[in-house]
Amino acid sequence: MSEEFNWLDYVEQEESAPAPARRSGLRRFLPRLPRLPSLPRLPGRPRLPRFPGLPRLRRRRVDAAPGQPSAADLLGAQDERPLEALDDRLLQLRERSSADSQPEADAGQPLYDVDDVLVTPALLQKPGGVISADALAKAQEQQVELLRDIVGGATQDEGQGGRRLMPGRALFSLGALPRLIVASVLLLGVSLPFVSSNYAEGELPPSQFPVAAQGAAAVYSLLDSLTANDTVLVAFEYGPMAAGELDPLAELALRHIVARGAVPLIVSSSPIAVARAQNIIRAINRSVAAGGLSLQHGIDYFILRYLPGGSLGIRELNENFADVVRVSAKGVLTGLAFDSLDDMAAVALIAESAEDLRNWAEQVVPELEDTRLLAFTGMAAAPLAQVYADSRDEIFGLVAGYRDAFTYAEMLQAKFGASKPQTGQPEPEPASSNAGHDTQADQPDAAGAQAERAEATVRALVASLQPSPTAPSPTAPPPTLTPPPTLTPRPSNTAVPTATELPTATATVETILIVEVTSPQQVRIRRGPTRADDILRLARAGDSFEVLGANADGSWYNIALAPGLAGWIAEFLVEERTSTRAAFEAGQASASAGPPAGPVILRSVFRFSLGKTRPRYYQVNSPTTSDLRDYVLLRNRSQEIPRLEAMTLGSLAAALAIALGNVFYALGALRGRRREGRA
Amino acid sequence: MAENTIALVSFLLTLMVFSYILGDIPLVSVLYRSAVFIFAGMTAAFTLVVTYEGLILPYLQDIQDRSTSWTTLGHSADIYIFGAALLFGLLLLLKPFHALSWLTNSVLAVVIVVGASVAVVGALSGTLFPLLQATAALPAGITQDFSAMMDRLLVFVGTMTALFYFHYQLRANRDGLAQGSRLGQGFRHIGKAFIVTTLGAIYASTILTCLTILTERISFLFQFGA
Repeated sequence: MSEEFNWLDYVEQEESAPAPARRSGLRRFLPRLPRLPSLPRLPGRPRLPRFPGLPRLRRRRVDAAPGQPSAADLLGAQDERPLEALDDRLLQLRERSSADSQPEADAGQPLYDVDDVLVTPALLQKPGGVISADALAKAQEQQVELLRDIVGGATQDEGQGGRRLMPGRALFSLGALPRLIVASVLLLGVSLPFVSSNYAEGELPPSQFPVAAQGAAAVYSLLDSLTANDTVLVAFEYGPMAAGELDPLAELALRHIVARGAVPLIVSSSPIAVARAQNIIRAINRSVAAGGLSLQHGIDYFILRYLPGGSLGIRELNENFADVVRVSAKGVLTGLAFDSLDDMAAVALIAESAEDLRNWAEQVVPELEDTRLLAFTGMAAAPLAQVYADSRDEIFGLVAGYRDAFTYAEMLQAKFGASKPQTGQPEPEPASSNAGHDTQADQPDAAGAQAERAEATVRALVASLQPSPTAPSPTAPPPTLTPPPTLTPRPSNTAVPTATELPTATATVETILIVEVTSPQQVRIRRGPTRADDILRLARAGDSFEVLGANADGSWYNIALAPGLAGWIAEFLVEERTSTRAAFEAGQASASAGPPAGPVILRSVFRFSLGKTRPRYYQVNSPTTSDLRDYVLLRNRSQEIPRLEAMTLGSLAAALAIALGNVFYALGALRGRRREGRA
Repeated sequence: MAENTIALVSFLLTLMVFSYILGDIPLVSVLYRSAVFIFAGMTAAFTLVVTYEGLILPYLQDIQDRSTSWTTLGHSADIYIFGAALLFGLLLLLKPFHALSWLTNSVLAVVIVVGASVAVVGALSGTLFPLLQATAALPAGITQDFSAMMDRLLVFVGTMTALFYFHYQLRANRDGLAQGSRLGQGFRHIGKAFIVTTLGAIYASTILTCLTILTERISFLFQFGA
């Protein structure tokens, strides 16, 4: 074929041919620009030798120094190798291709398959329909003609003055059978659990994150340590394609943040994700509307303007955070005044792809000093995200996939729902598995009595372990105030307000050692006296805590966070002083019971609507202190368990389809080999 | 009423997307293609609206409101920056005109080069250097944390051999044929094993994600019928 058609000559002719001077469309009305003079050809430019079988890029490297063999040399030398030097497999391939090639007499006949390959029948049959959007451009048609010339001259009935329409495809072809079988099996497996609970396969996810999964547990504990004055940046980086998996995670994160009284600031580098965020907020509001609750934009949450430019936009968020938070997605001023991302209590990233996660980990995390990035991803992005999460430098914690969402929901339900009977939509319990899911819900009286006994036990424990009036010894081991296991689902036993009720007997003249946070930034209180330990909660400047002890070198204080809960804080972040217990507890009570900050009215004047001046007012204040637990409890969980069971059956169906596909492939290969043997 | 309408449209669109299962039958494939076209068109339209409302309009507001300045350089600098952005945007509109498309190409060159620079800096500072640090920093107490050491060793070996797999340099043997070193071949085989394992894990995770999304749609269909 290379003797009949020289590709390089053809390309050079096409490139050297002058462009047609046609001017169509709007270009006809534009003035014709003077043509720039062409640069003179450089003298002495050597003509490169021609190697017809090689593309141009390879040809340029042929004149390399003989002592340094290049890839072009090696490939170019293949044309000149004798047949004897070829590998056995190459010889077999050559013989087979020679045997399969068309006989010489048929070379001029049209190739029946060419049009099938070059132009699909659908394109020819539907010139004016929807599919006409896929019509070939003129340049593409020229390429098709060129390919026709190369493979065998004129095709079909071109000589009869028109293109012959291809025969219509049958309504059902045997080739589509495997795909139909696979799709049917998959759909059947996924659908059955929604129809009947008899097809429940597999075990449900655990009701709380195991100790091994530090990442997810860390995310939960950090969001659970938020206070009413905190703001959390929530980045929505997913679109409709991943909504089925990430919407539950996003909804849980938002409900958890709001239930702690913190304010989420939603931001995204995708406009579609802004719509997803609005949908989720709308769903939350629908669920709590019966209780008279509603999340208000500009008060309880903010949706900020979207960030154009992908990684550039995320970079802008990092460097110009104050500007980004000034404007909402509706194009109005928010009234927020933050200087940097470190003003956030946390940054929660809900990402669809590993690329989004990498963008945030690379563009944002290195600039964060005191704020941690929490990641919520789908399973597809989990392998890469897990690497970041394991390092614990880039991403603080990771919650991945629908199974983690289920566990997260269970933990939220246990924390916020145990002390309050659920008044929302009925939650169906599984018939067989997960029997220990929430047995207290059926026996509220017994549960209440048990909780009261447990609370009395904690009171007695704390009263018996009151520190001595003098400062505790730095080397003394921290007292173990861990409540009994039966207390863990009861938030009233671990919450801060109960601290003010407990030590009534020893409250008068007792002197205690306290530390006050002096760092201007938020500081972390950890589970142990090292930076590698989990963060229990964050503290701000002015927060004070009772000292329970210190580590050996005095670089970390062991402090009391709540009855039964102790943490560690670095010594250089705080200032040590003494106080009476009564004064300390009075200060704590006034700090926790203080009224929310008053609203701040901001005014902006907008003058771009046909000359009219429209003042706009925006109100910014702290969220209301109503019963925010309803934002967690009133979730519709009716479809959670069937979806998990459908995923299990679907996984089995997918594995079956893959195994069957491999079997069919192997059988086909064996059949082909046997046919070759007969030939 | 509006909620029901939206739900009904979603229901029909879901069925249209599922018609892809039936293959390239012309009558049926129009349904799938129509759903895709609606999705792509609405995505583009929504992007345009959000860009105007969330980006252009606030800039115009800030330009008008002289009491605010979004940079530390002052209000006049803001106007210049906005003017430059507007000019760049207008130049992008010249792409259909063949004689002036070089202006569009210049603007695109700036955008692409800046984006690539950010990506390169991010890849170096966010991925490569931390990866090197993580693989190079072996724990001091080897006997105390043997599993951690093995983890890091595995990461180190996997990283190096996977990079070696993409090393295509060959040298000629006495017969002039291309040949790689045997040690390199061994590394490449190990690297291939790591790559295949990684791709397998990602593929399995992707299947799980697809199944999750599928269950959500199936759940929606059953909920709609209930």
